[in-house]
Amino acid sequence: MVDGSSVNTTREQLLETIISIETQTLVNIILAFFVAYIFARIITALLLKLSEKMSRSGRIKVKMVIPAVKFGIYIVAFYYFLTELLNIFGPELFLLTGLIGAAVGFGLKDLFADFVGGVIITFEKPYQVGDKISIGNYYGEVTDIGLRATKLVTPDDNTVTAPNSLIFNEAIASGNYGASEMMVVIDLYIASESDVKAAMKILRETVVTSKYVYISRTSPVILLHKSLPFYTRLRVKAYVNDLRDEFEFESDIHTRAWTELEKNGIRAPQLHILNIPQIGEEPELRTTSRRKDRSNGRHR
Amino acid sequence: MISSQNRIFITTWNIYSWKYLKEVFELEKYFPVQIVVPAFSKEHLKQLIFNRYEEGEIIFNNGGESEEEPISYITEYPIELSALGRKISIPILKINTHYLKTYLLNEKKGKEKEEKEKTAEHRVFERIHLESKGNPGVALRIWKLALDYPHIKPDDVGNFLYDIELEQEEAFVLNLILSYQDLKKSDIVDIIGSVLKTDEVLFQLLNQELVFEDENDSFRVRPEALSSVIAYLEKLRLVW
Repeated sequence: MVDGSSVNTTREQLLETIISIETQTLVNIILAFFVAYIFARIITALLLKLSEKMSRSGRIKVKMVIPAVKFGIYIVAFYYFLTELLNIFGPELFLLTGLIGAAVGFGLKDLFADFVGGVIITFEKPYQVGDKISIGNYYGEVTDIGLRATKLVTPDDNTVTAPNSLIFNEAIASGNYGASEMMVVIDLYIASESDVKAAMKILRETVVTSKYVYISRTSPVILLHKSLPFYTRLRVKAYVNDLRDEFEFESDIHTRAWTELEKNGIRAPQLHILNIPQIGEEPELRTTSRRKDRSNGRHR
Repeated sequence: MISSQNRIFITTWNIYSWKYLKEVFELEKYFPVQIVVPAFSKEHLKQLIFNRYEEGEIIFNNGGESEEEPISYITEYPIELSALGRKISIPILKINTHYLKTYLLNEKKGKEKEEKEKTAEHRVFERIHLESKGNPGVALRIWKLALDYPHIKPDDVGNFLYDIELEQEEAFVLNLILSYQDLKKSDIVDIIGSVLKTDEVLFQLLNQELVFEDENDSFRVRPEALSSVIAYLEKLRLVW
């Protein structure tokens, strides 16, 4: 049990400590955090540079440690700030933590939630730097996990800063979860009367010969076929070697597959069912035929 | 004899094309028995190379006339780091045991010249074996590059390091050349779909001295660049 007099004494000591902070100490505090910030930036930049020189799987592994390193540097700076600069130990530290807790509770709860989110992301790793994730309404590659927010770059090169506290409210989908390969689902639609077997063979050969594909025992190429009322859907589930090439992979498959499909007389679904004119059909002819139909109707 | 058996056999010139076909078409289900030809030992490489010459035709280290054999020497030990995508050399200090045996223990007095040559010969083939990793084609190429007929010195046996920087398409074509053994330009055009792009790719590969055009107008990986190329392609996971 801590009696009332000892708490009062500690509180007074803490107040005395805080009041007695000199200008020099304040400068040192700012300097300490500035050095920590610069140091974290340098380490991050070095690790990022190293990771880009490594293999694809190595790149992700190196990037994984960046948030933990940054977090460690800031913890050391904060500890230095409390013990060396403010000389706060034991009960004083306990009281200060209480004060910080109260401040957080009143005014900085969002910031605190982001910070806690950052700690959880660092250690629990729902996603890592280099992963492709969907968070909220955004999808992109995680480029940085900070103490407050996570930065991701979307496919159209927008940098999105998402607060770390989102992990408490939103479901997060990671496409690769620490691996450099990622499954890409590609759909091709062909006309219902097409030779599906030939189309599947062409599609498979297109996928396995792509320069972007990654094939292994645990990352096979899967082809699925589904007949729908007006067309046939061919779906490929394959792994792209580097998740950064996700869209290039899809484009490569579409381009090469359609070249071969057309050579073999396999066409895209025809839209005449929906009374939409086919590509290449002369609009004048269609208009004329419609006019003829109308005039025939009048004559009838 | 394999050829006398009434069974289907396939042969593959390298392990990388086999591994690709195995993953894509599950070939090992249909060809469950694989015979891997082991790498050549130093003695086998020596025999392979010497079969092309008369006895005493090649003179090692000027025939022991001018240069003194060292007691110890530094040999570059090549290591392929697929994580970094490059081949590096680690210098290792080695004791010249041949020299020590002959000259310190006085085993063969009066035969210093022959023994000097034997020591140089040992070092030449040690370097070739390390650099080629027992691949006979690579060993022959390294031998030819080092040979200043009829002389060859251990220090002239190259240590081939390449700093490869390629675009995706270039690396893909290099992978195809490696897997097919040789590819004609027309084949590469068919794969890439553009003559202009093929020219750009081949220019890069030739410029970085990774491939060469042989007498049949086919492009092949330079034997001396083989281990660097493999390390680079392993980094990109185009071969595994």
